Amino acid sequence: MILRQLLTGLITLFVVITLTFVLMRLLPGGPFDEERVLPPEIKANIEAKYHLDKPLLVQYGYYLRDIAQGDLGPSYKFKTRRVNDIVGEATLVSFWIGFLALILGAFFGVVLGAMAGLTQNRSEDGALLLLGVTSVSMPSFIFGGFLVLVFSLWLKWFPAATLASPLHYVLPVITLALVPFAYSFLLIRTSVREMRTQPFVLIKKSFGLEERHVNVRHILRNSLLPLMSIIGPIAAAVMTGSFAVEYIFAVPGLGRHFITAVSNRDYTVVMGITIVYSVALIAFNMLTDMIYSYLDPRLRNKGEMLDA
Amino acid sequence: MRKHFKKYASSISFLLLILLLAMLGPILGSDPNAIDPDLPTAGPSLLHWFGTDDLGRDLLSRTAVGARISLAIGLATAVVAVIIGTAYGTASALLEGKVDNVMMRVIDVIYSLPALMIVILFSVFLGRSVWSLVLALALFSWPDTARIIRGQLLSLKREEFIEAYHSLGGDVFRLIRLHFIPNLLGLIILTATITVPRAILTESTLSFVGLGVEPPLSSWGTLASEGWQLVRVAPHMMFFPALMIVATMVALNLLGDALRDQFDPKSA
Repeated sequence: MILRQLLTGLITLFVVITLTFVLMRLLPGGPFDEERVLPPEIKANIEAKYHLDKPLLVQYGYYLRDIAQGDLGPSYKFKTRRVNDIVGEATLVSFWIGFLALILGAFFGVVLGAMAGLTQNRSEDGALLLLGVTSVSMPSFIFGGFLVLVFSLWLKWFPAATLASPLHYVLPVITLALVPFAYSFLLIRTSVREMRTQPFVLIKKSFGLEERHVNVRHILRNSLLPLMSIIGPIAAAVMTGSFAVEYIFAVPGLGRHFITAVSNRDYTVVMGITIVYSVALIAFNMLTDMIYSYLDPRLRNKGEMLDA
Repeated sequence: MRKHFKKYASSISFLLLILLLAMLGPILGSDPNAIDPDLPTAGPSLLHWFGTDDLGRDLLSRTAVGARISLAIGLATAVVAVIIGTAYGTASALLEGKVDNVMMRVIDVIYSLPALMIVILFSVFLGRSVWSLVLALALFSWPDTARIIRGQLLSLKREEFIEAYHSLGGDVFRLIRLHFIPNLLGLIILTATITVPRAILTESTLSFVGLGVEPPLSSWGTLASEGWQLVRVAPHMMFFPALMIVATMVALNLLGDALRDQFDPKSA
């Protein structure tokens, strides 16, 4: 099963590399087309240096060889920098805020979701559910813009841009935490509700175990299981959100570099970032499946059940 | 239907309101492109309900025109995705075995692609028109439909009345038309409803960071983006388009929820 996933991952990576390569090369205009037209000899020299004068297939071969050696090539726009350096720094930044957001969002999602699932009070559940549905429907850029407006422009509590100090992390991390919060909230709420009527829970209760004990040890613990299964999609959604968040808060992460690189036609940077994102996504999905099948013995060695 | 009457009623009536705005907005407000140099970034007033932008253009009518683009992209994406997804899912379920397996692996691969990035590359490559966005968005939306349809068909195939049909010797296209499509119709509507808000979300995010629809066209995302540039002086410029996006998303998600409870009780 792990072998099959590894294979799927490799195929995916190959598709990503090929697709981005083809798309980037087919785009009208090259990386060295600037407003001031370069003399043809100079342009030819530059293109020769980066192998852009070779046939596409040869360029593709060079590229695959370099990637296999872990080298993403030179940046076309920032001539003194390697893509590895740019992407390396940006990955660290994006990873950090993504990680913090995931923890924060999942924590509040589980707590509030369990509250909504356990409460007997319909209006309390209704209010919490409204919160969940609104968060699921709220695009990151709107939430982030709202936070900036209120907390940095009006109240002046937090700075609005860059990541200069720990205080700068507050707003972007909260914004990014919205998606994991919404997903885990809705999931935990439903699974707690289902769990409450399960026979084993009723039996525990009829044994006279304390309500709190049953809620935490039996209902909540078992409800956490499905959460593992959506960590992959959540991670993907956090990555999507990071585009808007990094744009709003001027965070020098992968999303922001990607947007700049696309408009600069900086081929190698675009491809480098896409590859890093894909590797992260694939790793997340594999990790999810592995943890899930470890926690739920029913799924072990039964890959096909996951497809249902 | 009765159980979810509130959800259906509130979401559908709100969506109708938005549609009405999209159709009548330019009549209610003034010309969306008329510039009024005396009234730049004016707040909401009786004359301009949503205020004006930095060029003094009426925001109500601009939001209404933006609604057309945003909704059109959402709906068109859903239509394309549902057509491809239904065909693919049906084929996969009917062919079964090895073919089915390979077809599902293809979907696995698409799921682990970095969707947003490839949508951006595609739409830049195809020329950032409404249609190239729709195509790029649909490329990543159809696998959901395909999976749901396939799952439903696989269980439908084992039903007794289908077996009876086979034993009477009916042909496969008649089977699809007579039994599969009517039984899948609810699910198809459901998947379309789920696809629309996702497409609107992605499109508005792209437009917000400046990689979506290009001027002179403007969607809600573009308007929000323009508002964001001027958020210090004219917060209303971002507020109204943002409100429209969120409200539409809430309505569509509620509708999707109600439909899911009704047509797909297993996953609810």
